[in-house]
Parts: sequence; structure tokens; C-alpha cells
Amino acid sequence: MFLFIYKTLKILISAIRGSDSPKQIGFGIAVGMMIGLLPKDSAFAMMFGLFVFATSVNLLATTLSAITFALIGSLCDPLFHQVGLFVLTHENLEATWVWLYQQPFSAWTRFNNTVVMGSLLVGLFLMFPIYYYSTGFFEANGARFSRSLTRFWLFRVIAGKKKLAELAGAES
Amino acid sequence: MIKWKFVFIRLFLLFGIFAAIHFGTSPLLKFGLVTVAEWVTGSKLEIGSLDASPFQTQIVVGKVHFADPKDPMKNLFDFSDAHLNFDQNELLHKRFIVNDGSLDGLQFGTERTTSGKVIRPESAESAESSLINDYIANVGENVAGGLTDLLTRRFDENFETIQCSKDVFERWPQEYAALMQRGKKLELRIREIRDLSRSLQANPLNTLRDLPKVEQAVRDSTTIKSELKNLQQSLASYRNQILVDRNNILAAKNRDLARIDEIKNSKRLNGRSLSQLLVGDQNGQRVDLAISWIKWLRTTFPHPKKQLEANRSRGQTIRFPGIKDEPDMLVRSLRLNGIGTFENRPYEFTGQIAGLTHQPERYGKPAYLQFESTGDIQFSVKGMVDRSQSIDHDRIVIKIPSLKVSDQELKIDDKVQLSLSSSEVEIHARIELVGNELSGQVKAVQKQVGLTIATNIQNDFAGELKSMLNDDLKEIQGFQIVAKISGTPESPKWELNSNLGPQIANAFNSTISRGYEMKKTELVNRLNKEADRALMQVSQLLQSNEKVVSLFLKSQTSEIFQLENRVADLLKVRGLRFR
Repeated sequence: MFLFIYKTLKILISAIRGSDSPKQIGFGIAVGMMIGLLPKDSAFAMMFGLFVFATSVNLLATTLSAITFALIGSLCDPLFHQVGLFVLTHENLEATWVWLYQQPFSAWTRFNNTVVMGSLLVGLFLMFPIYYYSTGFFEANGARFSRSLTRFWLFRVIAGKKKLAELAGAES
Repeated sequence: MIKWKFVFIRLFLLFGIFAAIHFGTSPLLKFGLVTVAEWVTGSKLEIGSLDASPFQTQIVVGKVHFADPKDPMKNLFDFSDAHLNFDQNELLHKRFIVNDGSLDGLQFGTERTTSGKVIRPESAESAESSLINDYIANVGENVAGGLTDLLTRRFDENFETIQCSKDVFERWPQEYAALMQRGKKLELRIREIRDLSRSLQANPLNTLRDLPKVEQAVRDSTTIKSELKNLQQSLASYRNQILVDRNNILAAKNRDLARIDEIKNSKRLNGRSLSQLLVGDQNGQRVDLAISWIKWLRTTFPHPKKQLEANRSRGQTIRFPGIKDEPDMLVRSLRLNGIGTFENRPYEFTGQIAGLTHQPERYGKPAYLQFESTGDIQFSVKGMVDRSQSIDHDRIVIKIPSLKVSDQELKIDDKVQLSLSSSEVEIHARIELVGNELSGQVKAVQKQVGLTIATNIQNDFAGELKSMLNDDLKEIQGFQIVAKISGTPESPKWELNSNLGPQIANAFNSTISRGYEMKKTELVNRLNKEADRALMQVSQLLQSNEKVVSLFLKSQTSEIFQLENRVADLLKVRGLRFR
């Protein structure tokens, strides 16, 4: 029984840990940003969440990114509102929005909300720069950053012995 | 190459999340419904079971009891099962549309074993019947007072004619007797003169001796003649006086006739007031019931406040032109069945609710409710709740085609009441509430009724009237009552119109008039009889007394003349004469 629980937890931890290449961490941070910025009652946030589960992005990086950008996003609502309002009320796009509104499932996305649309567009606009710079950051400082994290108990649990041994070997 | 371990782990996580959503929705929804309902109403909501999930299009709810906020020991409603089938296509558009649902075992006002109060809400005061009852009580006093007066009336049967005749019969015999008395006195003196003349005739020698007597007799005869003449004049004047008295009797008779003619039924029953008195209270209960239904509609389906609509704190939801917004939640059709009670009699009913939504302004159409009973008590209730405009509009139509009504006592007062035999009544009520303005009417048609009057007033006239009235009341085969409603739900007003009161009033007034006419005819006949008898007696009195006195006076006059001549002859034979 205890063995089963231990194995299950280990599987979960390994899933959370995910792949830890700089690109996967960078992509996780970019997707986490999207999830964080989008209002959570929009299906867009859920779609990005499913996307995270369907790919091998680093879940820990995604989670931390989502939390961080959720805090930042609430401060940026006026900006998102202005962007969303401009786009949603643009005459040339009106027909597109009407068509989209009439499609199944579109209502769940609440795309006609100014903050949802604004945060989606801003997030998509920032996605590549965030991915690019965070990948570069982790390529340059990933090992040193990981070692500094070994001071934390939670990281040690999540990283596992193998990873810790890798980090120790790299240091020596 | 597929990393199966990675796929398996991700699928496992996804499955766990979906399972948590699937199995967690029901308890969460149940908790949310109970918490919100109890917070809003202050009454307990008990849900036996609830099966809902975002991955299925049906919600099944079982054994629901919702306590009445006004009476914690009763349920406002409860039902055994509810099935709500959502439109799958509409769900993809984030709209919860119940295309077809059912609510089974619905009951209203059932007893609770425990109190259903969560907090103590302020209960609204009943705004009905006290004024109406006061009004009816006042009407009752007026009508009952008038009716009892009519039935207990006593007629003055002391005719002046009779009194006048009595005076005549008492006075004239005395007058004639007095006249006769005076005549008798003269007769005595005449006899003395006659005796004197006879003694002189028998013994002429005494003439000189009795000369003073003769002289006195001669003077008396002159006086007697004068007196007799006076008496005859008196007799003649009596004749005239009796004729005057006869005319007085006739004048008294005419005055009596005039007085009889003046006997009028000045108090006529007012049909409308009588209707208020007889059926006002009962119909008031029906009106109260109908108004309580429309108030129930208004309170059960309040106007949704704008802040209750999804009011996102983040951003603004853009409405695109040309797109008609549908409500987020809508019940297109919900079939109902359950058990209710009417006048303590249970009945089963089926019904349907259509167009029920929390966003009626978006829906743009009213919601409709319909209930129909099955079994002994037949009725149908149709309701309309329109919250699509800024002014709320409610309408309720109640039809009861045939409701058995047991024997009734329609009490007018302690002395007079009407008995209404058991019959059937058809009730049709239609009430509208626009804004805060009530309008509509409650109409009740009662057929094949049997009305009789019952009274404990003990007098002949009331007895006769009662008999006649019951004959007239038999003509009333049915009646209708219409209560026109106005005012506000807090202060409703209603105006009662019924043909029962006027029919009964007509019967009463007609009977009373006929009764009075009969009484007048009886009095006139009696008066005529009494007057004729009096006049005849006066004539007889005149004839008999005058004849007697007249004959007497004539004989005395004749005799006094004869005596006067005889005395004169005697004196002449003796060579005597008076100077």
C-alpha cells in the first residue's frame, strides 16, 4: 500500500518536474505567462492549461510563471482593456467578431470581453520574446540557478536524487 | 518516438482533474444552491440528492423541501424528483437552456416536523379584510335594521270614523232623551189643565171658585204652546245637527282612508348593499385568494436586478451589432405534477412552466405558467409573468368550472336569515398586476340555487310576508357575483356587483309592497264596513227618535189647543172672559 502511494507520488513529482531543458523551461514560462495574464473564467486559460498538459513543457516553470503573471496581469487590466476595446470595436473586424461569436464554444472563451481579448493579444505578442529571453537565460545560467535551488527542501524533493547527483557532478 | 511514460502520466493527471470536476460538481452545486437560497430567503432548503456534471446534459434532483419564509413549520414547496435536460448545442454557446424538464410530486404548504427558519425575516402584514369586514358590518346594520322594521311593523287600526260614530251614538240618545224629558214636563202641566177643564165641565158652579186656576191654566197653555214650539224647533235643529254629524262621520272616514293611503313602504331594500351583506364576506375570501396568487407570482418571480447579471469587474463585454442576446439560463418547458389542497380537499394537478429565465429582458418574452387539476376538484390556473420590460406585468386566470357548495346560511341579522341550498358554483377570475396597479375581476356564477327565508319574528304580518316571500324567492334560480378589483397589492380595493342582492331585494320589496297593499285593502274594507254601519245607525237613530218625539210633540200641541178651546168655551157659557 505504502509502496503504491510512494510510486504514485514519484510519478506525479516526475510529471511536475517534466523536462528541464532550457527550451522547455522557457516555453513553460511563456505559456505560464499566457495562463497568468488571461482571466481564469475564459476558456482560453483552460485551453492553454490543456496545452501544457499535452506537451512536455516544464510544469513547475509554468506554474510559477502563471502565478507571477497573474499578479502582474491584474495590475495591467487598464492596458488590456484599452487594447481589447480597440480591437473589438474596430469596424473592419466587426464581421469577423460576429461570425466568431456565433460559433459553438466561442462564448466559453469570452473573447468579446475587452480584458480577455487585450490580455490574449498582449500575451501572444509577448510570448516569443519571453520564450526567447528565458531560454537564453536558462542556457547561460541554468546549472548555477539549479544549484542555488538545492537549498530548498521542496526543490530537492521534486528534483530527485538523480538530478541532484547531476548537479553535484557538474559543480565538481 | 512516443514517450509512453510521459503520455500515461499526463493522461492520468488529466483524468484526475476531469474526475474531480465530474464528481465534485454535484456536492458543490448542492452546497451553493442551499447556501444562496438560505442566505436570500432565510429559510431552509433541503436537497436529498443532486446529480450534475459539466460532462452531461442532464441534472437530476431528488427530494427537495424548501421552507416557507412566512411559516417555518410549513414548506413553501417540495417535490420528489426533478429532471432538467439541457440543450447540448446551446451549452456550446454557454447558454443553459432547459428544453424539456419535469418536476414530479410537487406540493405546496406541506407540514414540516422541524422549523425551517434560518434567520428571522420581517414578515409583511396582511393588508386585506379588516376594512372590508368593517364595511360589510356597517352595511349589515343598515339592511338588517330596515328589514326587521318592515317585518315587525304594527299598523294603527284605531279609525277616527269609529271614534266619531261612537260619540254620535253616545250623544244623540241623550239629547233626544233630554228633549223628551222637557216634553214630558209639559205633558204633566197639560194633564193638570185637562183635569181642571173636566172638573169645570162636570160642575160649572165651581167655575167662579176655580177662576184663579182657570186664569193660570189659560196663561200656562200659552206658555206650553210656546214651549212646544221651541221643542219642535229643537227637534228640527237636531235633525240638522245629526246630518252634520253624519257628514262628520263621512269626513272622518275620508280622513281614515287618506291615512290608510299614506301607509307606504318607505324603506326599500337596497340590492347592492344586500349583496355586500350576503356574499361580500365569502367573495372577499375568493378575492383574497386571487390576489394572494398574483402576489405570489410577483414575489416568487421578482424583477431581476441588473447587478445580479454577470457584472465582470474586469473589462467590458462588447455586444456586437445584429446579434440578439439570448438569456444565459432559460427553461423552455418544465412539466409539473403534484398534489395540492383546496378548502381542505386534496387534488392532483399537472402543469407546465415555459419561458422562465433570470434574464427576461434579454429573452424579451414573458414566462407562462399553467396548472390543471385532475380528479374531483376541477380547476385551471394560467399565469403570465412578464419581466421583459421596465414595468413588471403579471396576469393570472383561474377557472373553476364546477365547485360544489354545501348548504349556507346567509345571515342578515339575528332575526332574519336566508337559507341557500347546496349547489354548484362556477368561478372565473382574471387579475392583472401592471407595475403596482391591480385590475381584474373575480366572477362566480351559482346555478340551481334554492333560497328560503327563515325568521323568528312572531307576528301575523311577518308570517304572511314570510310565506309570500318564500314563494317569490323560489323564482330565483341562480345568481352571479362579480368583484372588480383595483388598488395595489398592499392595499387592494374591490367593488362587488351581484344580481343576488337585487333579486332578493326585488322579491322583498315586491312582497312587502303586496303585503302592504293587502293590508291597506283589508283596512279600507273594514273602515267602509264600520262607516256604513255607523251611518245606517245614525239614520235609524234619527228616524226612530225623531218620530217618537215628533209624534209626542204633535199630540201634546193638539191637546193643548183643544184644552185651550174647551176652557174658552166654558168661560163663554158662564159669561166670563179674561182681559
